[in-house]
Amino acid sequence: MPKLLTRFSRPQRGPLKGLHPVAHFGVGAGLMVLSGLLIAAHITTIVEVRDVAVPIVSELPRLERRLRALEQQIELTQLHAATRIGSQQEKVEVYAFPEETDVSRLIATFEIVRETLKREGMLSSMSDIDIGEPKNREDGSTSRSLSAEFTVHEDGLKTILLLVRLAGLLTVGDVLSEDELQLLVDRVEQENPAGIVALEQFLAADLLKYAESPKVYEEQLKRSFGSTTFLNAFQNVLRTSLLRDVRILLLHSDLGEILRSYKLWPLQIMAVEEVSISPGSSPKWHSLKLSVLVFSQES
Amino acid sequence: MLKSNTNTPHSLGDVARRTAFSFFLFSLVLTSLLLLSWYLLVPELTHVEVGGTVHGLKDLRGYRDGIHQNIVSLEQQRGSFLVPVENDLYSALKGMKDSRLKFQLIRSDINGVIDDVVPSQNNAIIISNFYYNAAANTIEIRGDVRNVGTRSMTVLAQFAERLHMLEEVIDVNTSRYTRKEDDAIGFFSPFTIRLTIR
Repeated sequence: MPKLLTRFSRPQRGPLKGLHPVAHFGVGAGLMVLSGLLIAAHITTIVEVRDVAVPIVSELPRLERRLRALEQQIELTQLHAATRIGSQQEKVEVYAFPEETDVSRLIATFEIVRETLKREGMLSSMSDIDIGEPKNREDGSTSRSLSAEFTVHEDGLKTILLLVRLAGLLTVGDVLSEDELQLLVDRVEQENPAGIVALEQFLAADLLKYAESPKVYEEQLKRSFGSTTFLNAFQNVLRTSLLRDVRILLLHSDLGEILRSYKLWPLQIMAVEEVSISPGSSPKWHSLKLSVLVFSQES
Repeated sequence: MLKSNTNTPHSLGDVARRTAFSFFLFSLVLTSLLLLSWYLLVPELTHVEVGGTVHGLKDLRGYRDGIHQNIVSLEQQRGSFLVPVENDLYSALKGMKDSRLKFQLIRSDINGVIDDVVPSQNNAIIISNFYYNAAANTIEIRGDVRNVGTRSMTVLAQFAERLHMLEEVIDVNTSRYTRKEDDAIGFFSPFTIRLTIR
């Protein structure tokens, strides 16, 4: 027993214990600093897990579902779009944004507007049409100004301005704003990603043909969706977008049909330059001076 | 016989000498445990398996950003299928054309303001001309305030003030406020108001 106690009380001479106490303190302090750094790294990792990893992990399934739905949609639309894009592009280059302004086509369009509105009692007179010389624009396009004066009823005024608004637009998709398109696409994604093909066909529908028989195109799209989520959004877009005006104004007058029968649709792209509206001699009648720019690609 | 040394005074150096090794041993064990935790335990707890692939904390963000980029590029691709015209100039002109049609909205807002300013009387503010200039982004309205007696200038000021409150209007420039008298319509205040719009 005393031997044992002596062994414990005697300083050991191991490889570590043999070091000087100052060295023990020094190395110990260094290790403590390292421990401190490791504890800080642990804390940082835990905070990162809480702030970064957990939200990302909860977000990933949704993102992956979205990615898969988009891949599926692209696959479905690719084949159909391949044939359609070419014809759409051709229509733009030939009619909507041609190499050169077809003046006779423009004059014929306004002549038909005059005849149709006059027959419907919405226009009492229209002045001569002045067409300016082509001017090169900074953006690379060329514009010609076209101006005319009308004595027109409020509804006729709306029709003329709507026609300017629709000039250069070809499809239903062209008429919808980015927000409206996004709303429809979001609902398609939520409800039935494969329904993108039906939506694509609806958006690719010729605007004038749609205006003539909107129900056919609308029902075709509605058939692809069962629940009310998409249908509500769709009805909302139909009610609030420019499509409503297209349906009301072009469907209820035969202007659209005449433009198509004379092969004047699609119209060349135009934008308002100056508008002057003064009250006419009777209530709801106006004197309208309209100046628009007609754009072409000629250089 | 063992001698107790409890009463023996110890110098500071003695204490330091005796605790040095314990301190060293403690820090060594602590550091070792933390290192083990850092290299074995932490990766085990923070790695996530997504779609059959294990992702660490660092590359999780990159993985998420990668999916985001894919989604954006697929959305663009899908958008090009939905509205498929690849002519930037034509698209820009369509945008420009749309922006020039807001005058119709402003015209109907002005009519709303006219109804609101003198609600009891619908022929107090008469617009004789509405002129929109797309290049200058201005609207000029001409007319007069009548049928309100000597209040015509006050009504005109209220009208100009309300026009300034319209969302699309940046600036309202009113011609001088004046009151005239006419045998047929009584007191009236003619005006030319120029609106600068967004």
